[in-house]
Amino acid sequence: MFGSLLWKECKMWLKSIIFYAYIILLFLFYVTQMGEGTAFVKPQPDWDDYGMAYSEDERVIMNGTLKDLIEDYGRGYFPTYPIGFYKKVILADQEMSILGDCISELTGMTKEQWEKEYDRYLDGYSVYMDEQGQFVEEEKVPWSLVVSEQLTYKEFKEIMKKVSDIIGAGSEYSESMLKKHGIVPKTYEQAMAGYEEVLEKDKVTGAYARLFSDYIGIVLGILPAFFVVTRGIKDRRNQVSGVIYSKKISSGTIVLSRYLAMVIMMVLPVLAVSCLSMAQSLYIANNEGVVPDYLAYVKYVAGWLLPTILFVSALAFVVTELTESMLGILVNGIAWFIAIFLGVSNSALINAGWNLIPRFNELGEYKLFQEMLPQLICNRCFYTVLSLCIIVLCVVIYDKKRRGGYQIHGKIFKNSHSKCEA
Amino acid sequence: MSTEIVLEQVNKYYGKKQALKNVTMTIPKGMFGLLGRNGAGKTTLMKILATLHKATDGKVTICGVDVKECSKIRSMTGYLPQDFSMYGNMRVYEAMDYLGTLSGLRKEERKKRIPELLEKVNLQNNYKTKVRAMSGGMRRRLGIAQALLNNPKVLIVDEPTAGLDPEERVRFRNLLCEIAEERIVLLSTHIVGDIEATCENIAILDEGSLRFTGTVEELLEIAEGKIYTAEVSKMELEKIKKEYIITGMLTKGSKAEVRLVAEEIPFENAVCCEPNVEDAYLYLMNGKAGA
Repeated sequence: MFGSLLWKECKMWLKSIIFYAYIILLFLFYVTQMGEGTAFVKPQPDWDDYGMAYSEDERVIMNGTLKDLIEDYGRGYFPTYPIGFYKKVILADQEMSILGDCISELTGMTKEQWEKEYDRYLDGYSVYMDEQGQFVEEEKVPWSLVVSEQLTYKEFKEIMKKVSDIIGAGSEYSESMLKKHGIVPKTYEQAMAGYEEVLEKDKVTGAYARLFSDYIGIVLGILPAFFVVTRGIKDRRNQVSGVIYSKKISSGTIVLSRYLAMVIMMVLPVLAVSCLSMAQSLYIANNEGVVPDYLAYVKYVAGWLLPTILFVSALAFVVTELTESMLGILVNGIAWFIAIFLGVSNSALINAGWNLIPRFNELGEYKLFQEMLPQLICNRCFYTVLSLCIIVLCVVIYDKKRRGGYQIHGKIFKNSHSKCEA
Repeated sequence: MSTEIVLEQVNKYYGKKQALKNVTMTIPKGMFGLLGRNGAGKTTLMKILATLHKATDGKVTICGVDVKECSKIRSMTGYLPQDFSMYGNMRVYEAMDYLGTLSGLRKEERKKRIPELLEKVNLQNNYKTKVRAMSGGMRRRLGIAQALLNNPKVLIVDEPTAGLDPEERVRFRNLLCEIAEERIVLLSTHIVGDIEATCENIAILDEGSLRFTGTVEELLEIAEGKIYTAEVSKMELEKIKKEYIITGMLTKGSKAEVRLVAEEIPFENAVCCEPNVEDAYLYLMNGKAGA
């Protein structure tokens, strides 16, 4: 019975304008964001710039961290990411004073000395817009504050633990985030190693599938809501709820078949659009003489994008069942806005956090992705489990509505009117 | 297992508003009419029987099964709501197939049952007609067909003839009578003519209370000797309207033939006549029977 209903629900979508609008929007988003293709070329020894990399050198990490800490201290606030979302932390004077002592410990200088040095640097620092409209940073006085030579990495980490505890949860100075401060320009050798990894481990297709997932994840954070809300209010608009409620089939079968049908009908176009990106990656793999991973896109869509679809759909489903309105779009819109603009996407390349839309806006960077992978797996499992819980809640709500037992805002009023119609 | 619906002391509240007040009655096999004004509680009662609403208190059993056992009740009832419709872009057969699946019918059962039912409701030539292109009458017939998908013991039909043209209404009533040979058909309406033409047993609801339950003959007996006809001048008409309940009126030039309810002969030229269901209903609803 479930299979039969699932198939009927899928067929219903094939006749829906919303389904085709979804495909068009997905396609347009892909074309505008990734349509021109992203070049994957072998690094050449004479290039000026090979991009940036996270250094393994403890001294580089320590000095980078110190610079960021002094700058945050100077601004008077500290960015944090508790449960993956941005939060600005402003410390009390006493806490700032302790932090100042920590910086003194790191530099081996008195507070007056390093503050004077920092002021000198700031006096020579300026930002202006060049003729091409690009912002240019100018440092007339080079940065000179470094971590004391006598300080070991172990001692450094102890001080940073103190700093991190003062700033609070999600601090940029926690042990796992220290490496993020050690950014250095990539060397030709590093760029070549990255290139080789993409060929050998990603088989090219994996790298492109990641970039595809990164972009398409943005649009999948909101589009399913329109899909689901349309289905949710379709019963009310067509006045079929009464008939459907009176039928023998269980509420679980109705809700699950609808949910699964929507998810299937949303995933299939994603896989179809992914073929465009895959064609590009297969061509490059072929040129490079690499045997591609033909299932790479399926793996990334299932593991990375499917949980987003599951969660957005489930959230829209439950809100629509509760309110029988378009409110599901608004709720998902807010969730999407938070995920896109306040998430960790721009700041921490190696941090998926608990963001609904994890970002990895890099072609290649296999090693970095491997570091992010455990977090990403936790993130995706969390949203999958949460989606299933929401759907169970949906079944309960739907069943209550079928029995006339759901009477919150609006329903009492509605029912009292239905009495008048009797 | 007895084929009857039993309601005992059923109450239903919507917030502070009481929609049903201590309703107690038994609905036997065959056509049963539920009559009452708009807002009398008919739809509420129907929804309780269709498991779409819960009674606040009291007991309801359908063929011996408590209505709280939703799944069992749903498998033995068919429901045609007042405002029945289906997804507009679905075709007739497709809609039946979808609702058949929801009724728990297997594919083979649906293939056999749907053509039979569509023939029964005279929609055998409309398999491919889209629901949005159907007339009101066709839609109601589709509604009846879908309600019969699971071959229910009880068919609950809420205001099925409202808005239909006379021909379609007669056809629909005949269809219901045919169906009622094998089951209970509970017909809710505020159109007295529908009840008169089809039902042997009826109940009358008024503001949530049961005013009458019994056969049509028993209802007529209540109004026996209380209905009069008289030919009056139009000048007298306004005065008569204020004093009596007028159940019918036919104007003939400067005169009018009125049919009215009165406890005793209202004026000299009035003649006592046989009551019809409409007369009896109006007599009852205006509190003359003291029920």
